[in-house]
Amino acid sequence: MIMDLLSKALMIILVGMGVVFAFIMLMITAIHLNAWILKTLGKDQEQPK
Amino acid sequence: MKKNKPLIMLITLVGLILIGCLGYFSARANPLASAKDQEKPAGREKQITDENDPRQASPRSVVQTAPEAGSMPAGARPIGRAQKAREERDKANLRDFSFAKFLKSILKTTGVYAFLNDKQTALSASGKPVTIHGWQSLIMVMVGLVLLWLGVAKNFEPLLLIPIGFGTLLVNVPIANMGGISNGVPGFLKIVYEAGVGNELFPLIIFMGIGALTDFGPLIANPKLSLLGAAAQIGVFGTVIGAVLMNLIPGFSYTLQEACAISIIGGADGPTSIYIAANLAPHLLGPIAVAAYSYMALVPLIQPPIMRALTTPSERRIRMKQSRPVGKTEKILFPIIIVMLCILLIPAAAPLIGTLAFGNFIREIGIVDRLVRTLQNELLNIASILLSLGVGAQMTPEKFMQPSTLGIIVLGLVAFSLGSAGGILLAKLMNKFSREPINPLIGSAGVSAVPMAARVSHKMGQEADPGNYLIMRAMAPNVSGVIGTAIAAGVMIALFK
Repeated sequence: MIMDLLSKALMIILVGMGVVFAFIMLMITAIHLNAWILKTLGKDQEQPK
Repeated sequence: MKKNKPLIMLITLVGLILIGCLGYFSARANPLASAKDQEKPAGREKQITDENDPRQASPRSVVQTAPEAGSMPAGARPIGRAQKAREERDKANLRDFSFAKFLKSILKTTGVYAFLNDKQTALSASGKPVTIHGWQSLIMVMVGLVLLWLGVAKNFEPLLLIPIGFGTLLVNVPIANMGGISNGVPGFLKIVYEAGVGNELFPLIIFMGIGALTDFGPLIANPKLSLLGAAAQIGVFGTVIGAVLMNLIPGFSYTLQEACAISIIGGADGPTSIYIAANLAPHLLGPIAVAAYSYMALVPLIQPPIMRALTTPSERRIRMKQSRPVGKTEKILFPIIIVMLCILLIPAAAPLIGTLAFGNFIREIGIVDRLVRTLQNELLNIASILLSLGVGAQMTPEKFMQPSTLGIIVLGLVAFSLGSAGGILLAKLMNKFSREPINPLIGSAGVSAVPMAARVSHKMGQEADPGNYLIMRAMAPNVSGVIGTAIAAGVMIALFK
């Protein structure tokens, strides 16, 4: 019973950390891409009011 | 006269208690007295029904003198069986009325009597029926008072612990049954719970408010620091194993859903903890929310020893480069980016990420200031009050006075410490490979607890080097921790859907 739960908990750690890191990595890539596109278009100088 | 005032009050109080006791014991010792009393009201009742003057007849007597259903004119409504039974009961009550009985019933409806004699069967956190005694409710009242003390005197998350404490106090008031249903009518705390805690509405409203209050600029300026927010989620997932291992101790038996609901405390994000608990283990909602908010309040005490243990003095003195300025368009597009990623990667996290992004989007576009102000102030405050009261409504003995609560408190601390350590260790690793120096102290801000965790990093940095300003650098992992915890929550919901 415990071993079964432990193996499932290990899977949750692997899948969970994998998804969180994948999301954050994609977010970082998207932020860089967004910054590059805006720089190319010359829209990166607008400052918040 | 002034000197005698306490004495007079004491004598009055003792007198009232004596009268009550006399009434109570006389009713028990002399049952015939009540039988004798029964005759009087019966006679009085007769008198009322015999009245011919319709102005003096009460509605009850009018109903009594109504004709038989069979002899009723067409269109007249026959008297229902329930109504007849109610009338009979009213009559019996009136006949049975006596001073002694009255005092006895008053005594039985006092809190003192209920705390001493009450005994109910309720479902425990694990779903098993347990007997709850009145004294256990009294202990929960004390727990409510302790929460109030922590909020008021110690300033531990007062905005949340004060309503939670008061909710705990009110839900354990005997007889009033504010957290349950009596005679088919739900109590006010039950209504609050059902309105927005049980259906997860209030945490989402709070997430909108958080979005409207958060500036993602530091994260957009230095996106790689958001990895620290991801690393801190090891506290959330790692504690699932801890909860499972706790099952080896007699008295503990957490299911995988319960383990996940407990481990989210490591994210140090109150609304997310409540959201997940309501979703995966609603019976553990009260202890989980209290543990989450208590540990969030204890960030300045829990994190510094971990930070000192895992970093060297030279690492703590590292000064980080100034971040680049972030344009308005970048800030406006950021919430759209995270929503799109959420839709593509983990839609189960969309309620949390979506509401956070919505609040942040309307903040950044800058054309709906009224809505932003409402989200940041009124709506956030109303949702916080109702959410905390609803959480307090779950603090009943059958749910709180269980071994599982002890486990939640221990596991919450483990989750919190593990999350802080995870962020610091990844920051140390990144510092080895990064061209720009990274102060490992900002890693502990990867647990959400915005902005307190970032402030702790800043303070620790200033202790090592008074000229080192880490606050804006620490905000990047801090806000990415909010996103990371929401994604972790989405993973857990997706796993058990």
